[in-house]
Amino acid sequence: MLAIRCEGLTKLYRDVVALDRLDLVVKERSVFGFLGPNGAGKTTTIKLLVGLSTPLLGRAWIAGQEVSPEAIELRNKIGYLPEVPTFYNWMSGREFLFFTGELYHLSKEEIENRCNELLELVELKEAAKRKIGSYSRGMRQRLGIAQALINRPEIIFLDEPCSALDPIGRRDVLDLIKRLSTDATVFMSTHILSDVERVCDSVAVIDRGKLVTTSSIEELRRKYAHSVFELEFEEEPSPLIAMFQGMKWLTKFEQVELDGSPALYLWVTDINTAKKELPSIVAASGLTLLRYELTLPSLEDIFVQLVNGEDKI
Amino acid sequence: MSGLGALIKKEFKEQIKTYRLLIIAVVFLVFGLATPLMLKYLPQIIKLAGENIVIDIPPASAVQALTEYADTIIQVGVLLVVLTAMGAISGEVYKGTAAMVLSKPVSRASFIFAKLFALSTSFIAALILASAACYGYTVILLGEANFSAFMALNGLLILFFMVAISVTLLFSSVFRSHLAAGGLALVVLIGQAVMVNIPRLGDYMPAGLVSWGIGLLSGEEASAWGALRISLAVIVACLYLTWLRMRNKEL
Repeated sequence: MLAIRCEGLTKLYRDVVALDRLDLVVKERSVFGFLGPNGAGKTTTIKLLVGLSTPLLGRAWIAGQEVSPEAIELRNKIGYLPEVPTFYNWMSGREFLFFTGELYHLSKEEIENRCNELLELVELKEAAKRKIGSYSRGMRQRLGIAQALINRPEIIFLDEPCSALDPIGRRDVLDLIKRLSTDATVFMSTHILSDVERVCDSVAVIDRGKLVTTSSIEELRRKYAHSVFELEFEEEPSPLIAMFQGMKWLTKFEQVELDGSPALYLWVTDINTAKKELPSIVAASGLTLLRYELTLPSLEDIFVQLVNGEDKI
Repeated sequence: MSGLGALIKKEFKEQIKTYRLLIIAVVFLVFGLATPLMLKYLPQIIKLAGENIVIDIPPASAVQALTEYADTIIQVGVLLVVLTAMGAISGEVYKGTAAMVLSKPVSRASFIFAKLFALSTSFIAALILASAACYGYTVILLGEANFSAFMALNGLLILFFMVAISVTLLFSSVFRSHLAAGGLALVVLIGQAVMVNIPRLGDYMPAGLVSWGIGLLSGEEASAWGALRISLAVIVACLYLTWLRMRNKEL
């Protein structure tokens, strides 16, 4: 079953297209990474999905129910962490969690238990009675995560969940997100690609309001990852370049200089054929090879490639 | 109206924890106590101020004290209403707490109604305190006064404060800036008070409620049912417009 479905979601802010006919599906019990550079439309999409904003065109469904600002019952199934979580500074962390539990109509006993669990989980137990006004950015972020989980939501929207966290806090939150996916669907927006690689099952890349691609991480690598060979020589590699004519497995090459030595970057599609044929071609060229290395592109390389429009679907 | 109970509880907590309720109550109480005291002891105060000045002040009456109280409390009260309500919606929208709350199973109508209810209750409580103090001191210092007329006056004052709260909440939902919301609410409230003096039209201004209440103290028969109806209509219209504005608001 699908946890989230969008059809042609379009949003305009005056004459700026914030979201352009977004179609998206997210499977149940998965961690879905919503990737894009700043201003791509990630927050706009999340606000539309949680009913804080209305689209100009298009529709969206959460757990089979259509999203709208009036669909109040639907929000019982949702948890939401905004990009910059804000609170009532006069409340303590515990009071805010309690208040959130009341908004979800939980019983007093249930709220008490959930508050204790969540404060422990986000390591705010000691600061629970302190006013939120005195919390650091990281503590606010952790409280934001706790309030998003108070109702044991089916679908959790996290807008840049790790943005204000230190490396240890980031690791803990990512571990938590991974654990949550056993019972819930996590939709997280981010531009931190290492976080996506670590926890997400599938991703969508968005740029300037348009969906660039959506697939599983593995599929993304398979589809867009072109392996790169780095070859370093003692002399100019012109004889070798001449021999590349007609090599179908070679997408492109680039001649560069590395620490004063001439070098070649070769982008290949068929890695196995390239592995077999490239050493013999280099040997036949008569060049002195100093270094031969095969590098696999990171998600970051794929992201840059997609956002720069080099390989849109 | 989903989430109303929790929101009302939160609004009251906020009024208490941010000392707003205390400030409103103390200010109202001070004016409630001070008015009969000032009237009673004004001749003595003037005597103490200057040795050779002779001012003949007729002895103050209970009606005069209660009228003075109504005039003062309405001016101070409107100012306090505007100051406390001008950021009630705009502040939450601007800071982002409105988005945090309204992403939960809470209707936008509940969000608005909780604010109106909590603010109105705070001002009603403060007014009860001030009126009790004023009436008690007036009776002690200046003699008996018409209790039922004074109660009616306070009822009309409450209705007027609710008009002021509704108008300010409406502007608070329209503008991003607290000051713009407060400034415009003050202009509207002062404007209608000025228009009370315009023949015919004045009979329908909410400020006519105060004149009606003061008239009751002096035993005047004149009523301002038109002003009462318009006041109720203004409250309903402002709440509806605030809801419309919030319903379409991007959070």
